[in-house]
Formats: sequence, C-alpha cells, structure tokens
Amino acid sequence: MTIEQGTDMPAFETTGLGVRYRRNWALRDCSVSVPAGRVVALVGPNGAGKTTLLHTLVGLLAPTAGTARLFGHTVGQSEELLARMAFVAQDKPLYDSFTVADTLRFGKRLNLSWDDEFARRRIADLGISLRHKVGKLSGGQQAQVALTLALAKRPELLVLDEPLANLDPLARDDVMRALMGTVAETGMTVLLSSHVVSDLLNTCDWLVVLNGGRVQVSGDLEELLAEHRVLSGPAELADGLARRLQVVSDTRSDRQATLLAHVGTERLTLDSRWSERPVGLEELVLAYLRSPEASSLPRPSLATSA
Amino acid sequence: MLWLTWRQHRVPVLVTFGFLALLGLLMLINGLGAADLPRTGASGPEMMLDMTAQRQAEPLRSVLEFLILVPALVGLFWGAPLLGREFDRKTQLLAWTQSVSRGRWLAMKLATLGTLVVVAGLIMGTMTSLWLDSYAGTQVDTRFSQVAPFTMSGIAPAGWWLFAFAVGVASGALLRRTMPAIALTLAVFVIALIGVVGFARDYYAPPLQDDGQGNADTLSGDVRSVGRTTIAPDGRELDAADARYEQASVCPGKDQSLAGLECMKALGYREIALYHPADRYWRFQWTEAGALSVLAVGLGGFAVRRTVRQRP
Amino acid sequence: MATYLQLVHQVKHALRLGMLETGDRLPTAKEVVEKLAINPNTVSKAYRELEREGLVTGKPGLGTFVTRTLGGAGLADHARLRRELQNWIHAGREAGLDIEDLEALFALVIGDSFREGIA
Repeated sequence: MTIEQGTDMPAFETTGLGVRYRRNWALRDCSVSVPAGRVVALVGPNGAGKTTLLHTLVGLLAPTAGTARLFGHTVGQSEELLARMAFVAQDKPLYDSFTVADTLRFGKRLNLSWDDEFARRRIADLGISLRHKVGKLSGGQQAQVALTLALAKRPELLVLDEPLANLDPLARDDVMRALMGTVAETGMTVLLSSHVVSDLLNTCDWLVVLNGGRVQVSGDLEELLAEHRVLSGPAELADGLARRLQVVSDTRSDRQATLLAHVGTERLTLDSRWSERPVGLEELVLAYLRSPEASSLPRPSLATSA
Repeated sequence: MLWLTWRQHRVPVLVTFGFLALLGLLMLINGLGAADLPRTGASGPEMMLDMTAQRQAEPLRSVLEFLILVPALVGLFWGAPLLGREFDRKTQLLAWTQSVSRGRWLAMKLATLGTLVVVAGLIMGTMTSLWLDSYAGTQVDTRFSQVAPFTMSGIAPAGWWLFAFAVGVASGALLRRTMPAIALTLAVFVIALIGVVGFARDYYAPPLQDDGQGNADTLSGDVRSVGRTTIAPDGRELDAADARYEQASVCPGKDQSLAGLECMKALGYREIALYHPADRYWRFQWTEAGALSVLAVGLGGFAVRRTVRQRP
Repeated sequence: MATYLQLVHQVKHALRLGMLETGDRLPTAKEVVEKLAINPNTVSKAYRELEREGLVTGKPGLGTFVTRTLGGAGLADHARLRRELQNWIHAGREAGLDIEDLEALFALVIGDSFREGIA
C-alpha cells in the first residue's frame, strides 16, 4: 500500500471529532486541519481535552463521533501510519528498569525506520551513558531520552503532550532547540500541547485553542495575530461596533470600552473616537479562554482540504 | 518483539525454570532412593501395613499438595503484570505508539509466553510422572486417585499453567491495574481449582459401577473412587441421605448395623461403588488439559479484543 | 518587531560592520534554530527578505551567500571612523555632556546630514 504525499495534504485533520468517556464528552465537534511542516501549539486549560485530542490522533483512542486523519488516512491500527508519526506522552513514560541502551534497542526493534546512528550520537552528545538505568536518570535526561526515541524514528509528524512541563529552564531550552533543529532539517510537522503559552512564542506558527472540549481557534499564528485587533473607545459606541464585528472579549467601564475582535482581512472603518492596536499572543489566548463561547472558526465547521 | 518479550519478562521466566530445575533435582534424588522398595501389583494386607514407600516419598509428597497452587503464581507473575504493569506505569502510551499495532504486540507476547508456559508445565508434569514411576506398584503412585498427583503429573500441569496465565492476562486487560488483577486472578484460579478438583474431575466420563460381585481387573491398581450410591429394587438411584431414610422405613429398628445392611440386601437394595478404572488416567488427563486449554485460548482472545478496542 | 525582521536587522548590522563580506555563507536554518530555538520558517522568511533586498542569494543545496555589503566602507575605514568617533565622544564628555546629550547631538547632526543629501 503506497501512501501518497501531496503537498497540500494536511499533516493531520479532524472532522467533527467527538470523544466520550462514559457520560462526559471530553471532545465535542472538533474540526481542525493543519498543513504539513508547521509547528503547532495546542493550548488550553487543564481538562480542556488536549490529551484526549492527542491520544485520538495517534491511535490510542477511538473517536465516538467524527473522524481523525493523519496524512489523509483515517487513524486506526495501520502499522504503516503508526510508523510515520511519533508520540511522547505526558510525563514522558519510559521503562525504568531498562538501561538507556535497552531503550534504544526497544526503539530499533519496534520500528521500521529507525536511525540508530542518530540516536546513539544524540545520546552521546547529551553526555548520557548507555549503561545507566533509565529510572536513575534526572528528569531532564529522561525527557531527552524520550525525545531521542521519538526523533530517531524519523517521523513526519511528532506529537508531544506537555513536553516542557516539569523541566527546568535549561532543559526546556534544550528540548525546543532540538525540536527546531529537526524541523529545519527534515521539515517534519510538530504538534505540542502546553498550558503555558509563553513557552511557545517564537517557535510555533500554528495555534489551536481548545476550551471545554471544543476548538475555539485554529489557524496560522501570523494571520491570527494580524486578523485580531484591540479596539478602545467610548462605551456608548461599543454596542454598535460589537454588532458589526466578531467580538472575543468585551470589557466596559463607565465611559470606556475595550473590545478584542476578530476583524478578518478587510480594512476596518471606524469612528475617529476608536483607537486600535495589534494584539499579542498571550493576550489573544487568554481572551479566548475567558470566553468559551467565542470562536474564530466559521460555523458550522466543515472539513477543508481533500 | 521476541527480544522485548524476553527483556520485560525474563525474571518470572528464569525464576520458574530455576524452580523447576530445583524441584527436578529433588525428585531425581528421591526417586533414585526408591529403587529398592518392595512392590507388588496387588494391594494385599502386607502391602497395606508396609509404610516404607510412603516414608521414602514423604517430604516430596506433602510438598506436592502445596504445589497445586503453583499455577496461581504463574498467573500472578507471568499473566497479571503483562498488561497490568504497562497500565500502572503508563508505558502502554510508549509501547503502542511505535510501529507495532497493539493487537500484534499482545498476540506476539501471548504466543511467546504461552508457549513457554506450556513447556514449563509439561516439564513439571513429566518430572512428576517420572518420579511417580519410580514408586510404581507402591502405595505412593496414586496419580489417578489422589488430587495432587493427578494435577501435577502427565499433561494436566500444562493445562493449569496456561489457564492461570490466561486468567492473569485477561484480568489485566479488564482491570488495567496489576494489584486488582492479581486479586481477581487468584480468586478465579482458586474457584476453578475447587470446581474441577472437587467436582468436575469425577465426571469426565460416566463412572463404572461395582456391586461387589467381581470385575476384578478393572478394580485393580490405582482406581479412582467417585462415591457410593444405592439402587432400589425398582431401579431408582438413592444417595446416602435418601438411602438412610428409606432404610428407616423398610427395615425399621436396624439403623447402621450390619443387620440393617443385610435386611436391605434381602429386600433387593444394592449398594454400588462408583469408580473409574486406572486405565482411564490418560483420557482424563487429555480431557482436563484440553478443556483448560480451550478456556485459556478463549480468555486470551478476550484480552486481545479488549485491548485492541481503544477505549479511554 | 516581528522575529524575522529582527533577524534581517541583525544580518544587515553584521554586513555594515564588515563581519559579513561578499561570498560569505550565512548559517543554515538548522544552525540558527539550534542556537536560538526559533521556528525555522522565521529564518527562511528572513533570508527571503534579504534576498528580495538583493543582499543575499540562495543556492539550493549549497546555502545562502552574501552578494553585496552595506555601507560600502571596508574594514580599514571602519577602524578609522571608530577611532575618530571615540575621540569625538571623549571630547564631548570632557566638555561636560552626558550620554543623552551626546545622543541628541548626534541624532540632530546625522538627521541634518542625510536630509541634505550631502556627505
């Protein structure tokens, strides 16, 4: 079975994805479509469903409703599809009783495309001895071993669940540099989740905001920042403006109103009493998280690419 | 997968085979010491009073009683942790996102470990059979009539070990934690053991009847006794309680004494002993091992299906 | 300022100071992001902008190379001008000007000079 690779094939895509645990919907009607080669930030508060979404994309969970696709193929138990992606779960699980050498051997034996040379070189460069038991390594070293396992697989899509949590700033920097280096070298797509937005500032170029199991935002980061503005002006004009625009957050005092709005690509004509400024990433994310009803996506959500 | 299975499960495998080696050694030494025991085919009165064979066999014979629980350990240490430990440590998130589908991952592990378990069980059974052979013709070789020797000889151990292993794996698939899986495995194993040993084993074939008139050859040797039953003159089968009740009404006043039995006999009541002749040993062995294997395969299939389902 | 523009700025700065000369190869995207943990697309974007301005050219498989420098002055000129600037600053401080005074004076003169178009 040959897996085609069109240049406009999304790296991953969900259409109306829903996942239910017993009575609760962890994900509801989620639709995103992300092109290849991007570094995607999946942000949202704890319990928003980030882990559920990631697990569904890598085949650990079956959807209750809707579909999830990798490189155009429905996610299931296909080993060929499994081989094209790599996953590092939350807390970076490893076999504690294995030595580092055992761990690399595990990667080699269980994977079709495994770059052993790369893995060994990386471990050596990090100064980690192959003989050490994984359980005895520091948190940062374990994270690096887990990351090496994933990178040596040479995946087209690398999915990481909160990779920077519980890492000291030095280790965080090391991890991000390694990821960016591999993206530069191979053009792989990276999807990482975080509940700390500032970590992702310079590295991510696609943003997905997940809140209460629903996708509020999914888009190219530069475009998103360009298409949102913060408008400040007199409170009495605010309602009028709010009707014309897709408002995300609306703060009023007696006389002043501040609106964060999704203005799109068209030029805005505003009353001269309004002032506008661009919005920063953290500000944008916080505004959406505080307004669970708001969404920058068109409704109803439909699948995009072929 | 072969390397991974070994690397993850080498401790219980090594311990098990080490234990078998030790047990085998003990049996060998003990069995050699039994070489010059007196033996006869029939169990005459001199035979019954001669306890030398029993004394020679003694430490191991008692140990054998305890060893019928060994399969439980197999279930506990080979089976329950297979899935249980992966879930406990969340390493299934690592194992199932390499390039091996979880169905293949589990099937390979079950095939490899299952084969090893059966081999170990067969070794156990063969060693016990050989040890009992060195007591052939004495009171010790009760491999058909007694619980422990039957369970530990021939091919029955292979069936029990495979069954216990499968119960362990299925428990792990169901409960997703090692400790609860261990508890469930133990409970299921004990219930199964009691059910088979205390009841089912007697009925792998319809028992023969001995009305005391003869059939000498089938009654010789290691005969498995099932129980006694009374047949009324009109053909009804009465168990012990009903028989006593009837005796009280048809032969009043005579109770348990010999006179009472004579009275019943005179009225046409026959007391039958139910038994299985010694040559049914292997048939029963195959029945038991076969049934346990079928159950084990079913449980294994359940575990695989449940694992592949990808539920949260 | 957008990150990619910062990068463009840094490269131009290096060109002006003579740290980069015609024919030099700029670091690859991989080299940059392994030092700086930024998105490789940012680097590509910066290099494309520099190429658009005619300062560099990309040769597939070989790298991105500097095609012309900025300022036109060589390293020797830089050394001389730097010394003269140091003297001027020294003189200014002797006269009692602080750093903000000196910056204001400099901004005034440089603005006048470029507006008039004369060197």
